[in-house]
Amino acid sequence: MKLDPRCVLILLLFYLGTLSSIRPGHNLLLALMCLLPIFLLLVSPVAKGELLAQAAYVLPFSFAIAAVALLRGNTAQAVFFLLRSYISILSVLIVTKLVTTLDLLRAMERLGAPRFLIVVAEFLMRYLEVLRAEADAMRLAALCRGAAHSKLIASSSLGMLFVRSLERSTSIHNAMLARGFRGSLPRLYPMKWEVLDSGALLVGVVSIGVLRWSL
Amino acid sequence: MIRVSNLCYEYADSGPVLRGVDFEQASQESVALLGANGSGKTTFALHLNGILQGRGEIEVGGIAVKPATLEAVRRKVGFVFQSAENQLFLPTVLEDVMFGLLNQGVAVEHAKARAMDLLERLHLEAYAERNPFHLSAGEKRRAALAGVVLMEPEVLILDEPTTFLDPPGIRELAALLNQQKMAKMIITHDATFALATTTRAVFFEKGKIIADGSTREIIERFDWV
Amino acid sequence: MHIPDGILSAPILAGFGAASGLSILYSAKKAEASTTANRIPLLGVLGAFVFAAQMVNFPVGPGASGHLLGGALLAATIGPWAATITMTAILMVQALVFQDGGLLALAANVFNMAVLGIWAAWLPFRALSRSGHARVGLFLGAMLSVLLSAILALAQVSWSIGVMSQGLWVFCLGLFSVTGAIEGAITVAAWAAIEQLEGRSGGAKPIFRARYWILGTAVLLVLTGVFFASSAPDVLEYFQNQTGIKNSGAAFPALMPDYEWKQLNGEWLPKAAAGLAGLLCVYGLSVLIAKLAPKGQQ
Repeated sequence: MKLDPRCVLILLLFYLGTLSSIRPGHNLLLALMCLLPIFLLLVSPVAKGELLAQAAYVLPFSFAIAAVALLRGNTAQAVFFLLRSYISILSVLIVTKLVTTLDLLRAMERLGAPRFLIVVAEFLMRYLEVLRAEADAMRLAALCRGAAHSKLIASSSLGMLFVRSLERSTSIHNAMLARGFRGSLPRLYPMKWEVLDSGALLVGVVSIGVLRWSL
Repeated sequence: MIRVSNLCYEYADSGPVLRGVDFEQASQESVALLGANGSGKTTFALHLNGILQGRGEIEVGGIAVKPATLEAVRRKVGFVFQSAENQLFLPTVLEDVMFGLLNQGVAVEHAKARAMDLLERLHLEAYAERNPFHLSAGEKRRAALAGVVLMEPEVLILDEPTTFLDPPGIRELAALLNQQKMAKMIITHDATFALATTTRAVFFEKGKIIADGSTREIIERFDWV
Repeated sequence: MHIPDGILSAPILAGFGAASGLSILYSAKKAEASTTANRIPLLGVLGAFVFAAQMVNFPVGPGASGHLLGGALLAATIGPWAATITMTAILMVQALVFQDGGLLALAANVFNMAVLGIWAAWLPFRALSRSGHARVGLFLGAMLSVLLSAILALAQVSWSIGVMSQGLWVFCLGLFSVTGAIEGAITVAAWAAIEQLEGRSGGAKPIFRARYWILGTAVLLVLTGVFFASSAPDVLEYFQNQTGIKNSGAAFPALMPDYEWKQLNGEWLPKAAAGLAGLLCVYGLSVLIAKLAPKGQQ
């Protein structure tokens, strides 16, 4: 069942927003709300153990918040923040495994995010690994010259990486011009909203809403 | 097809690079641009599609290259840049190959079909939805070439196309280029590749063309191996 | 400071979401209207640069290193509107690809880092560049960018989960002050390297010297140290208390007895003001002595 990325994004944001509306102390309600992403995890073709572990990597920040509650003697509140944080992150992880980041970005554009911003994000994603590989090569080159702790080498590396980035962007722009670029990038993936998407959205919103506001 | 008369150009920070270049190329003719690094080969080529605009007269396919005619000129001139990484700038290979066609006003579905067809012929169909970063050097070069060839230019310019390619990749590229019937201009240091893909060569030195003849004759004359 | 999902309350998310949304819409229009033709690839590649730059470890002390966060450098090189868009794109990719910061929490993170952080970096840089002190402006801007973003993030968390203790606030502010100073130092170093590579450093004044580090740190300590200082008696007072020896009083009236500017009100202000005044007096005295002392003895 392949849903329109916009439908998936709306449902995810609605779920996260609903979670954030639950006040501390309503641990039972929170636990019930957790059933939705757990159910999705069980039925999705994703590596379940890996996702459950990955969601825990982001918890240190939430641990700090929970620690504040613990210091104030409120264990239930600490558990609440940890659980809410964990299940939120898990939900996002599940969705990003089922829908590509590019599709999610495009969905954001269709839902109102400025196209200019989304195109910049796409270029960023395209060249992320290229520049990281460059930075890694520079780091290794510096290490080979015994310069692990040199401010000069570090600042020169940053400067060189920056200047190369500027040159690269000019080179890319020339390549765009050479193939007829006129200032705006063509939209390549038209999204088509189907009846299935309307149905999924309705079911999702009603389920989440009923669960949240009936208790 | 191409006519250049007294082309001069200088970069702001490095002085004159082209000092009065005259050049002509017929349609369907393949020419190699040879010469030392910094002799002006790439700078010259970048004038043919209007990326750089120096002093002198340039005509491509009967159209004078001027700011007002750049759109029409760029339909006739296909440029494959030295860095395939910078040429494949869209998030997926398929999008990138379609890019030129879409700028020409071709409908998305039609552009997609033609792009997939070409990718299949180049054995790149499996990479259609992948980030170009993950392709090998040879695959990137083929994908970059596909994106330009799909636009059906009348002149194909390639800047150091054999960079990072292994010998089988070079042979494959040469075979691919020889299948293309349009005029070709190949900037290269690879004498073997120049011999395999071109019949004529010009030699650049300090911003001028100092020799023009058959590829073999130029290579032998300047000991360019 | 990237806030994850599940921490902020719905009203905070809604409020900052609206503010972020409007800011981004406006910034996108302004950035796109820029006359530089290669805007799109430039912003995208610089966004990737920020990620890559975080892999370059910058030594900041014995056994310690930091890395560039990049907001101030972006603002200084491409202007605040484009930098806001680039930083927003960075935050979106961080949330979607690396789960560094929440997806719904983008509502707050974007405002904190891409709007407030960028403008906090840009304004001092712009103001001081005009008087030829670009690097000082860049340092201040980078520091403020980190500090103000962090303060707002802490405030958002505090409003969502309840009031944080003063001690925790002080600790966090101290921590982010140090982080901000590190960011400032790395940003200035990177800027200097860029200027040199682009051949622009010939006329730059080498004003970023150790004495400014020391002075800046001293001012910071004076203004915030009152929160860290122990209220326990010092050795002499302890000895007096144990032996019963009474303090006979000061030989002459002090301007600021007990290190407090008594004429000012509040708990923090009298102490901080006294500390700052004392520091300035010591500095002034030192400069005077340096100028008057024979050169051979300096």
